[in-house]
Amino acid sequence: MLDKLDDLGDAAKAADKLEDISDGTKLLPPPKELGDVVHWDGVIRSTDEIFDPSKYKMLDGEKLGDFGESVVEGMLRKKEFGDYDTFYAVQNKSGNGVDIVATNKKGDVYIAEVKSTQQDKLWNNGNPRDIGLKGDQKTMGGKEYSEDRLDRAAQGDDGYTDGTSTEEAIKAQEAIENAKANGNKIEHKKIDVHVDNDGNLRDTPKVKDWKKPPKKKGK
Amino acid sequence: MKTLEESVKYTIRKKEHQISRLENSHFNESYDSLNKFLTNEKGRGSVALRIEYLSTWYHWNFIHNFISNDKLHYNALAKSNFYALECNNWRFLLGELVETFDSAISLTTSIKHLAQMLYLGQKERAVAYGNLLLKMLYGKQYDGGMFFPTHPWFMLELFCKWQGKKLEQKGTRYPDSLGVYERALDNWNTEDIRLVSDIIDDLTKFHIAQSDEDVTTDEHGNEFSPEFTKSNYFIFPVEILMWLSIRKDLGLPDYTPSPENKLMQMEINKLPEQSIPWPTDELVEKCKAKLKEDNPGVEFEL
Repeated sequence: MLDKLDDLGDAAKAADKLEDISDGTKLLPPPKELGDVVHWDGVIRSTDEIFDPSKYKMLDGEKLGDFGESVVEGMLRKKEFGDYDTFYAVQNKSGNGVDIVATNKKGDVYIAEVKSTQQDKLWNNGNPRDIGLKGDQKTMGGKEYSEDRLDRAAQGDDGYTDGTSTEEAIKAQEAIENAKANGNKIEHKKIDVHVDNDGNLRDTPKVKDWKKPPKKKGK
Repeated sequence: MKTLEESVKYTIRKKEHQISRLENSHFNESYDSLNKFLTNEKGRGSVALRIEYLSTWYHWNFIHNFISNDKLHYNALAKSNFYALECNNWRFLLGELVETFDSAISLTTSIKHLAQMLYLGQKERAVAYGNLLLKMLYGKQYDGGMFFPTHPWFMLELFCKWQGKKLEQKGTRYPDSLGVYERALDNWNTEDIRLVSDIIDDLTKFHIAQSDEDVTTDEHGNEFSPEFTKSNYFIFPVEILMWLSIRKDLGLPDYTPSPENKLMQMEINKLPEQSIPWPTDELVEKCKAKLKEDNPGVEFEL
Protein backbone atom coordinates (compact mmCIF):
# COMPACT_ATOMS: atom_id res chain seq x y z
CA MET A 1 0.00 0.00 0.00
CA LEU A 2 2.85 2.37 0.77
CA ASP A 3 4.12 2.18 -2.80
CA LYS A 4 0.86 3.58 -4.00
CA LEU A 5 1.07 6.41 -1.56
CA ASP A 6 4.57 7.56 -2.30
CA ASP A 7 3.75 10.35 -4.68
CA LEU A 8 1.10 11.71 -2.45
CA GLY A 9 3.30 11.39 0.57
CA ASP A 10 5.97 13.51 -1.04
CA ALA A 11 3.51 16.18 -1.92
CA ALA A 12 2.09 16.22 1.54
CA LYS A 13 5.46 16.24 3.28
CA ALA A 14 6.51 19.13 1.14
CA ALA A 15 3.50 20.98 2.31
CA ASP A 16 4.25 20.15 5.94
CA LYS A 17 0.86 18.57 6.23
CA LEU A 18 2.02 15.10 7.16
CA GLU A 19 3.56 13.93 10.37
CA ASP A 20 3.99 10.28 9.63
CA ILE A 21 2.81 8.55 6.52
CA SER A 22 4.38 5.20 7.31
CA ASP A 23 1.40 3.59 8.99
CA GLY A 24 -1.32 5.64 7.43
CA THR A 25 -2.88 6.53 10.73
CA LYS A 26 -0.73 9.13 12.42
CA LEU A 27 -1.69 12.10 10.38
CA LEU A 28 -2.06 15.65 11.49
CA PRO A 29 -5.40 17.17 10.61
CA PRO A 30 -5.05 17.18 6.84
CA PRO A 31 -6.81 19.02 4.08
CA LYS A 32 -10.05 17.33 3.12
CA GLU A 33 -9.11 17.53 -0.53
CA LEU A 34 -5.88 17.67 -2.42
CA GLY A 35 -6.50 18.54 -6.01
CA ASP A 36 -9.42 16.99 -7.73
CA VAL A 37 -9.83 13.47 -6.49
CA VAL A 38 -7.47 12.82 -3.63
CA HIS A 39 -9.01 12.38 -0.22
CA TRP A 40 -7.33 12.13 3.05
CA ASP A 41 -9.42 10.93 5.91
CA GLY A 42 -6.94 8.87 7.83
CA VAL A 43 -5.17 7.48 4.85
CA ILE A 44 -4.46 9.08 1.54
CA ARG A 45 -6.91 8.10 -1.18
CA SER A 46 -5.33 7.21 -4.43
CA THR A 47 -5.87 8.73 -7.83
CA ASP A 48 -6.12 5.24 -9.37
CA GLU A 49 -8.72 4.77 -12.05
CA ILE A 50 -10.16 1.75 -10.26
CA PHE A 51 -11.65 1.81 -6.78
CA ASP A 52 -9.39 -0.13 -4.45
CA PRO A 53 -10.93 -0.87 -1.04
CA SER A 54 -7.54 -1.82 0.42
CA LYS A 55 -6.53 1.83 0.37
CA TYR A 56 -9.17 2.97 2.81
CA LYS A 57 -8.55 2.99 6.54
CA MET A 58 -10.10 4.94 9.37
CA LEU A 59 -8.07 7.53 11.16
CA ASP A 60 -7.82 7.30 14.94
CA GLY A 61 -10.78 9.14 16.33
CA GLU A 62 -12.58 9.34 13.00
CA LYS A 63 -16.29 8.64 13.23
CA LEU A 64 -17.40 5.46 11.52
CA GLY A 65 -20.23 7.24 9.70
CA ASP A 66 -17.93 9.96 8.37
CA PHE A 67 -15.45 7.37 7.20
CA GLY A 68 -18.20 5.42 5.40
CA GLU A 69 -19.38 8.53 3.58
CA SER A 70 -15.87 9.42 2.54
CA VAL A 71 -15.34 5.90 1.20
CA VAL A 72 -18.51 6.18 -0.89
CA GLU A 73 -17.48 9.60 -2.13
CA GLY A 74 -14.12 8.19 -3.16
CA MET A 75 -15.88 5.34 -4.95
CA LEU A 76 -18.30 7.59 -6.83
CA ARG A 77 -15.46 9.76 -8.07
CA LYS A 78 -14.16 6.80 -10.05
CA LYS A 79 -15.14 6.45 -13.66
CA GLU A 80 -16.53 2.95 -13.10
CA PHE A 81 -19.03 4.36 -10.58
CA GLY A 82 -20.14 7.36 -12.62
CA ASP A 83 -17.32 9.90 -12.38
CA TYR A 84 -19.20 12.12 -9.93
CA ASP A 85 -17.24 15.27 -9.21
CA THR A 86 -19.55 17.61 -7.32
CA PHE A 87 -20.72 16.66 -3.85
CA TYR A 88 -23.21 18.77 -1.94
CA ALA A 89 -22.78 18.96 1.83
CA VAL A 90 -26.27 18.89 3.27
CA GLN A 91 -26.09 17.80 6.87
CA ASN A 92 -27.83 19.09 9.96
CA LYS A 93 -26.27 20.06 13.26
CA SER A 94 -26.24 16.42 14.38
CA GLY A 95 -24.36 15.35 11.28
CA ASN A 96 -27.43 13.69 9.82
CA GLY A 97 -29.27 14.56 6.65
CA VAL A 98 -28.67 13.47 3.10
CA ASP A 99 -25.41 11.54 3.14
CA ILE A 100 -24.55 11.81 -0.53
CA VAL A 101 -25.92 14.11 -3.24
CA ALA A 102 -23.56 14.17 -6.18
CA THR A 103 -23.59 15.25 -9.78
CA ASN A 104 -21.26 14.56 -12.67
CA LYS A 105 -20.44 16.54 -15.78
CA LYS A 106 -23.21 14.83 -17.76
CA GLY A 107 -25.74 16.20 -15.28
CA ASP A 108 -26.63 12.85 -13.69
CA VAL A 109 -27.50 12.86 -10.00
CA TYR A 110 -26.59 10.23 -7.41
CA ILE A 111 -28.27 10.27 -4.01
CA ALA A 112 -27.32 7.80 -1.32
CA GLU A 113 -27.91 6.85 2.27
CA VAL A 114 -24.69 5.35 3.64
CA LYS A 115 -24.81 2.84 6.47
CA SER A 116 -21.51 1.85 8.04
CA THR A 117 -20.81 -0.95 10.48
CA GLN A 118 -17.92 -2.71 12.19
CA GLN A 119 -20.09 -5.58 13.39
CA ASP A 120 -18.70 -9.03 12.56
CA LYS A 121 -22.19 -10.54 12.56
CA LEU A 122 -23.27 -8.17 9.79
CA TRP A 123 -20.10 -8.86 7.82
CA ASN A 124 -20.97 -12.54 8.25
CA ASN A 125 -17.62 -13.93 7.08
CA GLY A 126 -17.78 -12.17 3.75
CA ASN A 127 -21.46 -12.81 3.05
CA PRO A 128 -22.64 -9.45 4.34
CA ARG A 129 -26.08 -9.06 5.82
CA ASP A 130 -28.11 -6.01 4.87
CA ILE A 131 -27.86 -3.08 7.30
CA GLY A 132 -31.55 -2.36 7.57
CA LEU A 133 -33.12 1.06 7.31
CA LYS A 134 -35.57 2.33 9.89
CA GLY A 135 -37.64 5.44 10.49
CA ASP A 136 -37.99 8.10 7.82
CA GLN A 137 -35.32 6.59 5.58
CA LYS A 138 -37.37 3.42 5.41
CA THR A 139 -40.92 4.76 5.26
CA MET A 140 -40.17 7.55 2.81
CA GLY A 141 -37.76 5.80 0.47
CA GLY A 142 -34.89 7.52 -1.27
CA LYS A 143 -36.73 10.02 -3.44
CA GLU A 144 -39.08 11.40 -0.79
CA TYR A 145 -36.53 11.30 2.02
CA SER A 146 -33.85 13.17 0.09
CA GLU A 147 -36.32 15.71 -1.30
CA ASP A 148 -37.74 16.30 2.16
CA ARG A 149 -34.33 16.82 3.76
CA LEU A 150 -33.12 19.05 0.94
CA ASP A 151 -36.31 21.07 1.33
CA ARG A 152 -35.76 21.39 5.09
CA ALA A 153 -32.18 22.48 4.53
CA ALA A 154 -33.10 24.93 1.76
CA GLN A 155 -35.63 26.55 4.09
CA GLY A 156 -33.25 26.74 7.01
CA ASP A 157 -35.41 24.51 9.16
CA ASP A 158 -33.90 23.57 12.46
CA GLY A 159 -30.83 21.49 12.32
CA TYR A 160 -29.97 23.22 9.05
CA THR A 161 -29.45 26.78 10.27
CA ASP A 162 -25.74 27.11 9.60
CA GLY A 163 -26.31 28.75 6.22
CA THR A 164 -23.91 26.47 4.37
CA SER A 165 -26.34 23.58 4.26
CA THR A 166 -29.02 25.95 2.97
CA GLU A 167 -26.83 27.18 0.13
CA GLU A 168 -25.73 23.66 -0.73
CA ALA A 169 -29.28 22.36 -0.62
CA ILE A 170 -30.50 25.07 -2.99
CA LYS A 171 -27.75 24.15 -5.45
CA ALA A 172 -28.57 20.46 -5.07
CA GLN A 173 -32.29 21.08 -5.62
CA GLU A 174 -31.54 23.06 -8.78
CA ALA A 175 -29.27 20.29 -10.04
CA ILE A 176 -31.94 17.66 -9.41
CA GLU A 177 -34.73 19.66 -11.09
CA ASN A 178 -32.56 20.33 -14.12
CA ALA A 179 -31.49 16.69 -14.31
CA LYS A 180 -35.12 15.59 -14.30
CA ALA A 181 -36.14 18.19 -16.88
CA ASN A 182 -33.27 17.22 -19.15
CA GLY A 183 -33.88 13.48 -18.89
CA ASN A 184 -30.67 12.76 -16.98
CA LYS A 185 -30.20 9.73 -14.77
CA ILE A 186 -31.16 10.13 -11.10
CA GLU A 187 -30.34 7.28 -8.78
CA HIS A 188 -31.37 6.73 -5.15
CA LYS A 189 -29.22 4.11 -3.43
CA LYS A 190 -28.63 2.63 -0.01
CA ILE A 191 -24.98 1.73 0.45
CA ASP A 192 -23.55 -0.53 3.16
CA VAL A 193 -19.94 0.02 4.21
CA HIS A 194 -18.32 -2.77 6.21
CA VAL A 195 -15.23 -1.92 8.24
CA ASP A 196 -13.13 -4.30 10.34
CA ASN A 197 -12.14 -3.72 13.95
CA ASP A 198 -8.79 -2.25 12.88
CA GLY A 199 -10.56 0.35 10.76
CA ASN A 200 -9.85 -1.23 7.38
CA LEU A 201 -12.53 -1.19 4.73
CA ARG A 202 -13.48 -4.83 4.28
CA ASP A 203 -14.66 -4.69 0.69
CA THR A 204 -16.22 -2.50 -1.97
CA PRO A 205 -19.38 -1.00 -0.45
CA LYS A 206 -22.62 -2.84 -1.21
CA VAL A 207 -25.04 -0.80 -3.29
CA LYS A 208 -28.80 -1.41 -3.32
CA ASP A 209 -31.80 0.50 -4.64
CA TRP A 210 -33.35 2.75 -1.99
CA LYS A 211 -37.04 2.15 -2.56
CA LYS A 212 -40.27 3.03 -0.81
CA PRO A 213 -42.18 0.26 0.97
CA PRO A 214 -44.68 -1.61 -1.24
CA LYS A 215 -48.11 -0.15 -1.94
CA LYS A 216 -51.40 -1.53 -0.70
CA LYS A 217 -52.97 -4.20 -2.87
CA GLY A 218 -56.38 -4.62 -1.29
CA LYS A 219 -59.40 -2.34 -0.99
CA MET B 1 -43.37 20.86 21.41
CA LYS B 2 -44.47 20.43 24.98
CA THR B 3 -46.71 23.47 25.18
CA LEU B 4 -48.35 26.10 23.00
CA GLU B 5 -46.10 28.74 24.56
CA GLU B 6 -43.08 26.79 23.39
CA SER B 7 -44.54 26.58 19.88
CA VAL B 8 -45.13 30.32 19.82
CA LYS B 9 -41.62 31.15 20.99
CA TYR B 10 -40.07 28.79 18.51
CA THR B 11 -42.15 30.13 15.63
CA ILE B 12 -41.25 33.76 16.40
CA ARG B 13 -37.55 32.93 16.45
CA LYS B 14 -37.65 30.79 13.35
CA LYS B 15 -39.63 33.21 11.16
CA GLU B 16 -37.26 36.02 12.11
CA HIS B 17 -34.33 33.82 11.18
CA GLN B 18 -35.80 32.75 7.84
CA ILE B 19 -36.96 36.20 6.77
CA SER B 20 -33.74 37.95 7.75
CA ARG B 21 -31.41 35.31 6.30
CA LEU B 22 -33.15 33.97 3.23
CA GLU B 23 -34.69 36.97 1.47
CA ASN B 24 -32.08 36.87 -1.22
CA SER B 25 -32.29 33.17 -2.05
CA HIS B 26 -36.06 32.85 -1.74
CA PHE B 27 -37.31 36.21 -2.99
CA ASN B 28 -34.75 38.18 -5.02
CA GLU B 29 -33.05 35.26 -6.73
CA SER B 30 -36.38 33.60 -7.41
CA TYR B 31 -37.72 36.51 -9.43
CA ASP B 32 -34.31 36.80 -11.05
CA SER B 33 -34.48 33.15 -12.12
CA LEU B 34 -37.93 33.60 -13.66
CA ASN B 35 -36.65 36.58 -15.64
CA LYS B 36 -33.64 34.56 -16.74
CA PHE B 37 -35.92 31.79 -18.00
CA LEU B 38 -37.60 34.35 -20.26
CA THR B 39 -34.22 35.22 -21.77
CA ASN B 40 -33.11 31.58 -22.02
CA GLU B 41 -30.44 31.99 -19.36
CA LYS B 42 -32.13 29.48 -17.04
CA GLY B 43 -33.70 26.15 -17.89
CA ARG B 44 -37.33 25.17 -17.42
CA GLY B 45 -36.40 22.73 -14.65
CA SER B 46 -35.49 25.28 -12.05
CA VAL B 47 -38.45 27.61 -12.72
CA ALA B 48 -40.87 25.56 -10.63
CA LEU B 49 -38.38 25.32 -7.79
CA ARG B 50 -38.13 29.10 -7.70
CA ILE B 51 -41.91 29.48 -7.81
CA GLU B 52 -42.01 27.11 -4.82
CA TYR B 53 -39.51 29.32 -2.97
CA LEU B 54 -41.79 32.29 -3.57
CA SER B 55 -44.67 30.34 -2.07
CA THR B 56 -42.54 29.60 0.96
CA TRP B 57 -41.39 33.20 1.24
CA TYR B 58 -44.95 34.56 1.39
CA HIS B 59 -45.95 31.89 3.87
CA TRP B 60 -43.13 32.87 6.20
CA ASN B 61 -44.30 36.48 5.96
CA PHE B 62 -47.90 35.59 6.71
CA ILE B 63 -46.92 33.73 9.86
CA HIS B 64 -44.30 36.29 10.88
CA ASN B 65 -46.72 39.21 10.52
CA PHE B 66 -49.20 37.48 12.75
CA ILE B 67 -46.92 36.12 15.41
CA SER B 68 -44.61 39.14 15.72
CA ASN B 69 -46.84 42.05 14.70
CA ASP B 70 -50.32 40.72 15.44
CA LYS B 71 -51.42 41.41 11.86
CA LEU B 72 -53.22 39.02 9.56
CA HIS B 73 -52.10 39.67 5.99
CA TYR B 74 -54.34 37.20 4.22
CA ASN B 75 -53.05 38.45 0.87
CA ALA B 76 -49.61 37.08 1.73
CA LEU B 77 -51.11 33.65 2.34
CA ALA B 78 -53.12 33.96 -0.88
CA LYS B 79 -49.85 34.61 -2.73
CA SER B 80 -48.31 31.59 -1.08
CA ASN B 81 -51.23 29.49 -2.29
CA PHE B 82 -51.01 30.99 -5.77
CA TYR B 83 -47.31 30.20 -6.20
CA ALA B 84 -47.76 26.70 -4.76
CA LEU B 85 -50.53 25.94 -7.22
CA GLU B 86 -48.53 27.33 -10.14
CA CYS B 87 -45.47 25.39 -9.05
CA ASN B 88 -47.29 22.07 -9.19
CA ASN B 89 -49.09 23.18 -12.34
CA TRP B 90 -45.72 23.76 -14.01
CA ARG B 91 -44.26 20.53 -12.74
CA PHE B 92 -47.27 18.49 -13.80
CA LEU B 93 -46.94 19.82 -17.33
CA LEU B 94 -43.20 19.11 -17.38
CA GLY B 95 -44.03 15.60 -16.22
CA GLU B 96 -46.20 15.19 -19.31
CA LEU B 97 -43.36 16.40 -21.53
CA VAL B 98 -40.45 14.54 -19.94
CA GLU B 99 -40.75 10.97 -18.71
CA THR B 100 -38.10 11.40 -16.01
CA PHE B 101 -39.65 14.54 -14.56
CA ASP B 102 -41.59 13.46 -11.48
CA SER B 103 -41.21 16.44 -9.16
CA ALA B 104 -43.96 18.07 -7.14
CA ILE B 105 -44.20 19.95 -3.89
CA SER B 106 -44.44 17.15 -1.34
CA LEU B 107 -47.93 15.79 -0.75
CA THR B 108 -47.56 16.66 2.94
CA THR B 109 -47.09 20.31 2.04
CA SER B 110 -49.38 20.47 -0.99
CA ILE B 111 -52.37 19.20 0.93
CA LYS B 112 -51.82 22.06 3.37
CA HIS B 113 -51.91 24.56 0.51
CA LEU B 114 -55.25 23.05 -0.45
CA ALA B 115 -56.42 23.56 3.13
CA GLN B 116 -55.24 27.16 3.01
CA MET B 117 -57.25 27.76 -0.15
CA LEU B 118 -60.33 26.55 1.71
CA TYR B 119 -59.42 28.66 4.74
CA LEU B 120 -59.26 31.76 2.51
CA GLY B 121 -62.56 30.85 0.85
CA GLN B 122 -60.93 30.06 -2.52
CA LYS B 123 -63.31 27.19 -3.08
CA GLU B 124 -63.14 26.75 -6.85
CA ARG B 125 -59.33 26.75 -6.86
CA ALA B 126 -59.35 24.32 -3.97
CA VAL B 127 -61.55 21.86 -5.82
CA ALA B 128 -59.41 22.04 -8.96
CA TYR B 129 -56.19 21.77 -6.96
CA GLY B 130 -57.49 18.88 -4.89
CA ASN B 131 -58.32 16.97 -8.04
CA LEU B 132 -54.81 17.60 -9.37
CA LEU B 133 -53.33 16.31 -6.11
CA LEU B 134 -55.40 13.13 -6.42
CA LYS B 135 -54.08 12.63 -9.96
CA MET B 136 -50.56 13.05 -8.66
CA LEU B 137 -51.24 10.67 -5.76
CA TYR B 138 -51.74 7.82 -8.22
CA GLY B 139 -49.21 9.20 -10.71
CA LYS B 140 -45.43 9.31 -10.77
CA GLN B 141 -45.30 12.50 -8.70
CA TYR B 142 -46.49 11.01 -5.39
CA ASP B 143 -46.39 7.36 -6.42
CA GLY B 144 -48.97 6.29 -3.85
CA GLY B 145 -47.78 8.55 -1.05
CA MET B 146 -46.26 7.43 2.23
CA PHE B 147 -47.55 5.62 5.33
CA PHE B 148 -46.36 8.48 7.53
CA PRO B 149 -47.25 11.20 8.38
CA THR B 150 -50.93 10.43 8.74
CA HIS B 151 -52.46 13.92 8.67
CA PRO B 152 -52.21 14.27 4.84
CA TRP B 153 -54.42 11.19 4.55
CA PHE B 154 -56.94 12.69 6.93
CA MET B 155 -56.99 15.82 4.80
CA LEU B 156 -57.32 13.89 1.55
CA GLU B 157 -60.18 11.93 3.10
CA LEU B 158 -61.88 15.17 4.12
CA PHE B 159 -61.53 16.54 0.61
CA CYS B 160 -62.98 13.38 -0.90
CA LYS B 161 -65.87 13.19 1.55
CA TRP B 162 -66.68 16.84 0.87
CA GLN B 163 -66.56 16.22 -2.87
CA GLY B 164 -68.61 13.01 -2.62
CA LYS B 165 -65.68 10.83 -3.73
CA LYS B 166 -64.21 7.67 -2.30
CA LEU B 167 -60.48 7.76 -1.68
CA GLU B 168 -59.17 4.63 -3.39
CA GLN B 169 -56.58 3.01 -1.10
CA LYS B 170 -55.40 0.45 -3.62
CA GLY B 171 -52.14 1.53 -5.17
CA THR B 172 -51.32 3.85 -2.27
CA ARG B 173 -49.51 3.58 1.02
CA TYR B 174 -52.56 4.43 3.07
CA PRO B 175 -51.73 3.88 6.75
CA ASP B 176 -53.30 0.99 8.66
CA SER B 177 -54.71 3.49 11.13
CA LEU B 178 -55.32 7.23 11.06
CA GLY B 179 -55.14 7.33 14.85
CA VAL B 180 -56.54 10.51 16.37
CA TYR B 181 -58.03 11.53 13.03
CA GLU B 182 -60.40 8.59 12.77
CA ARG B 183 -62.91 10.05 15.20
CA ALA B 184 -62.93 13.30 13.25
CA LEU B 185 -63.55 11.48 9.99
CA ASP B 186 -66.32 9.38 11.50
CA ASN B 187 -68.04 12.60 12.60
CA TRP B 188 -66.88 14.95 9.87
CA ASN B 189 -70.39 16.31 9.16
CA THR B 190 -71.98 15.93 12.57
CA GLU B 191 -74.28 18.67 13.80
CA ASP B 192 -73.30 17.93 17.41
CA ILE B 193 -71.15 20.97 18.06
CA ARG B 194 -70.07 19.76 21.49
CA LEU B 195 -68.69 16.61 19.91
CA VAL B 196 -66.86 18.71 17.31
CA SER B 197 -65.32 20.79 20.09
CA ASP B 198 -64.19 17.67 21.99
CA ILE B 199 -62.63 16.20 18.88
CA ILE B 200 -60.86 19.45 18.04
CA ASP B 201 -59.46 19.62 21.56
CA ASP B 202 -57.92 16.19 20.98
CA LEU B 203 -56.62 17.18 17.56
CA THR B 204 -55.13 20.35 19.02
CA LYS B 205 -53.25 18.49 21.75
CA PHE B 206 -51.97 16.09 19.13
CA HIS B 207 -50.94 18.95 16.85
CA ILE B 208 -48.89 20.71 19.53
CA ALA B 209 -47.25 17.51 20.76
CA GLN B 210 -46.37 16.46 17.21
CA SER B 211 -44.86 19.79 16.14
CA ASP B 212 -41.08 19.79 15.96
CA GLU B 213 -38.52 20.54 13.29
CA ASP B 214 -35.94 18.33 14.96
CA VAL B 215 -35.78 14.63 14.31
CA THR B 216 -34.79 11.95 16.76
CA THR B 217 -32.11 9.52 15.67
CA ASP B 218 -30.92 6.06 16.57
CA GLU B 219 -27.35 4.83 16.74
CA HIS B 220 -27.32 3.96 13.03
CA GLY B 221 -28.29 7.45 11.87
CA ASN B 222 -31.91 6.52 11.15
CA GLU B 223 -34.16 9.53 11.62
CA PHE B 224 -37.66 9.71 13.06
CA SER B 225 -39.86 12.74 12.39
CA PRO B 226 -43.04 13.80 14.12
CA GLU B 227 -46.22 14.65 12.14
CA PHE B 228 -45.60 18.39 11.74
CA THR B 229 -42.04 19.26 10.83
CA LYS B 230 -42.39 22.84 9.59
CA SER B 231 -42.70 25.80 11.92
CA ASN B 232 -45.10 27.46 9.46
CA TYR B 233 -47.69 25.17 10.94
CA PHE B 234 -46.83 24.98 14.63
CA ILE B 235 -49.43 27.61 15.56
CA PHE B 236 -51.51 27.28 12.38
CA PRO B 237 -53.20 23.85 12.42
CA VAL B 238 -54.49 23.82 8.86
CA GLU B 239 -55.73 20.25 9.09
CA ILE B 240 -58.27 21.43 11.68
CA LEU B 241 -59.02 24.61 9.75
CA MET B 242 -59.65 22.56 6.63
CA TRP B 243 -62.28 20.57 8.46
CA LEU B 244 -63.88 23.75 9.80
CA SER B 245 -63.82 25.35 6.32
CA ILE B 246 -65.60 22.38 4.84
CA ARG B 247 -68.15 22.40 7.63
CA LYS B 248 -68.72 26.10 6.99
CA ASP B 249 -69.20 25.46 3.27
CA LEU B 250 -71.79 22.81 4.09
CA GLY B 251 -73.62 25.19 6.40
CA LEU B 252 -73.04 23.03 9.48
CA PRO B 253 -73.27 24.67 12.95
CA ASP B 254 -70.46 27.05 13.90
CA TYR B 255 -67.60 25.87 16.08
CA THR B 256 -66.57 27.78 19.18
CA PRO B 257 -63.28 26.82 20.83
CA SER B 258 -63.49 25.47 24.36
CA PRO B 259 -62.11 27.79 27.09
CA GLU B 260 -59.06 25.52 27.46
CA ASN B 261 -58.20 25.52 23.77
CA LYS B 262 -55.82 28.47 23.50
CA LEU B 263 -54.50 27.45 20.08
CA MET B 264 -57.90 27.57 18.42
CA GLN B 265 -58.70 30.83 20.18
CA MET B 266 -55.86 32.57 18.36
CA GLU B 267 -57.05 35.07 15.77
CA ILE B 268 -55.17 33.27 12.99
CA ASN B 269 -57.25 30.17 13.66
CA LYS B 270 -60.59 31.84 13.03
CA LEU B 271 -61.85 31.52 9.48
CA PRO B 272 -61.73 34.85 7.60
CA GLU B 273 -65.20 36.30 7.23
CA GLN B 274 -64.77 37.10 3.55
CA SER B 275 -63.08 35.14 0.82
CA ILE B 276 -59.70 36.46 -0.27
CA PRO B 277 -59.23 37.17 -4.00
CA TRP B 278 -56.93 34.92 -6.02
CA PRO B 279 -53.77 36.87 -6.89
CA THR B 280 -51.97 37.03 -10.21
CA ASP B 281 -48.35 37.49 -11.21
CA GLU B 282 -47.51 38.81 -14.65
CA LEU B 283 -44.03 37.28 -14.55
CA VAL B 284 -45.38 33.80 -13.86
CA GLU B 285 -47.90 34.25 -16.68
CA LYS B 286 -45.09 35.24 -19.04
CA CYS B 287 -43.09 32.17 -18.05
CA LYS B 288 -46.11 29.93 -18.62
CA ALA B 289 -46.69 31.53 -22.02
CA LYS B 290 -43.06 30.91 -22.95
CA LEU B 291 -43.20 27.26 -21.88
CA LYS B 292 -46.28 26.82 -24.06
CA GLU B 293 -44.63 28.62 -26.95
CA ASP B 294 -41.53 26.41 -26.60
CA ASN B 295 -43.75 23.31 -26.61
CA PRO B 296 -46.60 23.90 -29.06
CA GLY B 297 -49.81 22.07 -28.32
CA VAL B 298 -49.31 21.60 -24.57
CA GLU B 299 -51.79 22.93 -22.02
CA PHE B 300 -51.52 23.51 -18.29
CA GLU B 301 -53.78 21.40 -16.15
CA LEU B 302 -54.93 24.45 -14.12
